[in-house]
Amino acid sequence: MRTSVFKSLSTHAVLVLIGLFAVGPILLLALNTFKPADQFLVAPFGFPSRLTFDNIAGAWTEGHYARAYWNSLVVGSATIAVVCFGAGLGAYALAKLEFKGSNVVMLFLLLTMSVPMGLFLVPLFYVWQKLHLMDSLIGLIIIYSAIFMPFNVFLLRSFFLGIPKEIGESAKIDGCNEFEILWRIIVPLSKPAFLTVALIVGLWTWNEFFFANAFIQTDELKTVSIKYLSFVGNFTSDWSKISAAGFISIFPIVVLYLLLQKRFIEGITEGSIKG
Amino acid sequence: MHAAATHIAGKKGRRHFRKKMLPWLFLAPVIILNVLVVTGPTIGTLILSLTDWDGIRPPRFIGLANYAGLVRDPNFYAALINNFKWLALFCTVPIAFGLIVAVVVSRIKRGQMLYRTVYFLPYIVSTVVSAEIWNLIYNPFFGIDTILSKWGMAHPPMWLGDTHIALFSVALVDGWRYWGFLMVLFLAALHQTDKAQEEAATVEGAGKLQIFWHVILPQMRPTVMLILMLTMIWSFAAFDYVYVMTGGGPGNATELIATYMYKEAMQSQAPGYASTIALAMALFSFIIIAGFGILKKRGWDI
Repeated sequence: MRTSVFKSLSTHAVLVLIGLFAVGPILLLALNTFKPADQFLVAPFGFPSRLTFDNIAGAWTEGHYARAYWNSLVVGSATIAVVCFGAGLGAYALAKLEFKGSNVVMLFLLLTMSVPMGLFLVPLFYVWQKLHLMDSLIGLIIIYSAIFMPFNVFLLRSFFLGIPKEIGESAKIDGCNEFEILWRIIVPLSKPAFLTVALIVGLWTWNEFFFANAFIQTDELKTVSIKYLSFVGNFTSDWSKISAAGFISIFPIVVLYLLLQKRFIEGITEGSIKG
Repeated sequence: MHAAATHIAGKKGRRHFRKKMLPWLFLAPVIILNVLVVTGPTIGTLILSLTDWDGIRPPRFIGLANYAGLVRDPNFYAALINNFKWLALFCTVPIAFGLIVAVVVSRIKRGQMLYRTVYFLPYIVSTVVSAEIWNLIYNPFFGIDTILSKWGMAHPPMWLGDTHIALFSVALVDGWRYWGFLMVLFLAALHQTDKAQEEAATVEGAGKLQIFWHVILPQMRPTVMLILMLTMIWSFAAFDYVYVMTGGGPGNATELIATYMYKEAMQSQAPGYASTIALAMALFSFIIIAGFGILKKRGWDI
């Protein structure tokens, strides 16, 4: 009995240590955000003797983070809307409409999902210049929607497949067409799946920096992640402010994650298994 | 009478046509966006790789000269070797670590979900921010080195400045983010293994390690294979942490194919050549996908 208690305690001790490895760097960011700047210089790893909001306030105004939050929110919600619409329709076709070529479409989407982003960057750059979509949030929204859609088609498709066929068929007898079945029956039944899509797409767009960095130059249009990159460039060695800007950048996502962690984790992992 | 019959036939035909087109109408947003952003430009990359385009003057067709240049480019090989090191690291360390931790967590009675939440957290934190946190940790004046020298280490490592270890320092950060994701995948797979087989093996007197190796692991083969494939593909496309933390330096100690390609496209104004590099990168991921596809067909699972 005693040995089993000891064993379980030591197991938990090891798991907690591993947990510290995982969250330690993020805790360090929080510590340095609320630690006075002069104290950071002497004890970069120490606990703050008093808490200050100077770093946060300074980083927020000097980095124009209100604007960056707004841009990320606009890009995120628009991308979520487009992806829910496009992926919902596509997933319905692949799950419920039997047609020749559905396997080809799925293979096509799978292949484009595994293409490295660099493969289409250069021509896309010049297409976007020709279409006057460079340095515009709409241009970024289109890119994000296109890139994130295939993954979510698979995610929604697997959910739609779990909805019994009979439900759609009885609606068809009542005179509903396919659009009506999707909109009136499948979508309401799939609310949790669409919520997962929204969370995953929201997370991705908030964190994405490769395309944002290449396609957005104007400071007023920068999203949170690339705003942070330019902030680091401007305040090279002011680690207190850099930490505060980092804290500002990840705060909404971390809070959302802690509130809805089950849906986040299962959405991300299920999608990558099925895709 | 006759007119009415053709009318009905026409209506039927139209309905049939509409029924046939309907799925494609549903798929139109996905396909149009994909062709505009991904597929079309990918074909453009194929064409550009055959030109000497500098991004300004009209491109000139130069045949396979870019490819001939690529196989003789020492910078490309330096990056390629780093990608292979990256791949070797990521296909072993985070996978083994994630699997072991998942097995341990799956055995405990309370707190499984809490550990899962904590270990997965680095995966959702934005790359640019976590890269900068680790830049601070690796910083020679404010980072972990200050603690190491306090403990009496005369020459603490230059984590990102030493060409011998810089690549591993960056890989550690990406691994720090990645292993929790793998752990969650393994944990989900472990929960689906057949408990009766385990009990039978225990009754027959098998040790814990034997049970893991001969009973549990074979059941998880599909998950392990999938993770191996994903990890290999991502290893060849790795970009984020190197770009933010070292930009490929010092020298080209941490240069990867993706960062080299990005530099050639954006800074060296050689989009034609960059396209060739991008295609080489894609070639590796398609070889990996095809390899796993064959394995799968032969019944070696997934």
